[in-house]
Amino acid sequence: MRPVFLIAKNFAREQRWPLFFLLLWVLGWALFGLLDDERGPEDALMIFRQLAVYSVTFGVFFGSSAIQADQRSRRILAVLSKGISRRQYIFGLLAGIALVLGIFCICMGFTASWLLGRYGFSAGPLWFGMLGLWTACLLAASLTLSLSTFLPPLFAAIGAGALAGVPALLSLRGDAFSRYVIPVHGLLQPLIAGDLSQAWHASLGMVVLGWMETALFWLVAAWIFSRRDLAVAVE
Amino acid sequence: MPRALEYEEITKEYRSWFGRRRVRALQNFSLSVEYGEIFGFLGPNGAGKSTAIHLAMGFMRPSSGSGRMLGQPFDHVATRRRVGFLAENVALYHRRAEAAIRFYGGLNGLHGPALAGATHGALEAVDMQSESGRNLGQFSRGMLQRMGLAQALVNDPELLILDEPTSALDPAARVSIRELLLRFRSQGKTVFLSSHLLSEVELVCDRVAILSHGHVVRTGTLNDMLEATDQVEIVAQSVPPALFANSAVEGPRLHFAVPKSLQREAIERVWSAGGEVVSVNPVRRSLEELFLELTNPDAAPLKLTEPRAGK
Repeated sequence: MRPVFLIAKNFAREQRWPLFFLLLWVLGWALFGLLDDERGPEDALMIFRQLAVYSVTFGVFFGSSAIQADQRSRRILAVLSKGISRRQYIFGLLAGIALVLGIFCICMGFTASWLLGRYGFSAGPLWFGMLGLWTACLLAASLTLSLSTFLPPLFAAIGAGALAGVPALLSLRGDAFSRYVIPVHGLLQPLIAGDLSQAWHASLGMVVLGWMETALFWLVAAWIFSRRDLAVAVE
Repeated sequence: MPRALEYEEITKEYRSWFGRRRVRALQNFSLSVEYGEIFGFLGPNGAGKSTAIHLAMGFMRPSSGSGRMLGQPFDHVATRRRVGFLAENVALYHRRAEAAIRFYGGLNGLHGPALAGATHGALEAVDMQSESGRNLGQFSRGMLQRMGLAQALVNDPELLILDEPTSALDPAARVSIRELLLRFRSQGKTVFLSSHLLSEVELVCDRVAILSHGHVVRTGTLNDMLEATDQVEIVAQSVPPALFANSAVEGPRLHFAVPKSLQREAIERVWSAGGEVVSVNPVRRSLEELFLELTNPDAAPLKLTEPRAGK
């Protein structure tokens, strides 16, 4: 597990600037709450929902570029020449994405519980919602990562959007089963569709399902990546 | 008998999407590297050297054939912990030099005081201890190459696979790397060295293989390969220079080369002209000459002289 941890830590370090950019957003939201006391909860909620969607987008971005960035820079050669398997490498990248987005979700959760708490919202369901958001981010990242093992980053991101979007559309049209297929939308729904008059909650079952599908896509990514030649740039 | 590195009839084809375009990088490629030797791996650009190395490291799979590294099939994860690898155009994460080497050592399962000691030793081996606090992003290409070597050495490997390890180094650094490799061999370890610097290879390698168009065209010890001509060089004195075509005069001595089959006849001609034979030695080509001869069929053949006929 130690190599996996090292790769995860290294990934988080490499992505410190995107993370900083994301955290600036949260800081901006906190400042908005601090300075603009006159407005109602709707504006704060709108920014919160935006941040939730952005975090999933960043999950897709991290997932699509993680392997490619290492391959393009040729840094992957020094990593995979060591005593680690490709499955561990992919797991390390995914754990790194989980770490980066986990830091973001925690910061966002603290800001949300302070800011939305001022409008009478209780922190418990919110933190459960943040767990759902983190799971949705990881699921999106894992799906994109598995596609990026054989597709360029842009196509992997588009493919992930399509694969997660079609079941979401079908479930919105009433197909009950589609709700459980790549449930990124299902996990996000309590956050992006809820308002202060409703109790926010993500279904625990949906979170568990999200984790299981994340693990499944990790295995798929590892399986494909282990069977592919490592294509590195000549210089 | 187990070998440090062994390729058996490996063919590697690169295919484009849908397999419409194919490039054969290696064809029925076989090679053995014994334990405890420094093995030079030579070939022109595009000959397949890096492909062969990447196959051994498990970065890619052969289209057919198989290979073993330290007695295990290629792509055996645990075996890679006993191997050090330096890629051509080394690329490492930009962090402090010491932290970077600790990171790569950690990936090989080292931790705690062992990792700290190994990191210290690896930086010392490549003479980069004084730079251990600097970020790799500020390093020159030569310094990065030394850091690449340090990350390859951090796990105290039994087999060192180096792809162009000295291409960006200054002469002093090259000498220290050469000494490092010789020290490595004296500890009974194995080095597989791919390089374009033929003079370096000539200085350190026990055996070499020359690769051209995806297959080995010559392999053997340097002595065998460089002496493998059918020419001998004869040095004589008190002989008129006109006796042999293309002879060179150095003071009182005359130097000329003849095919081995004509060696006896040439010596008798020296004697019959009242001269004295000083030495007769096999002609040694330089590795560069041999390399060009084997890898570039259009290159001009070696010009060796023959005795002038008659009279």
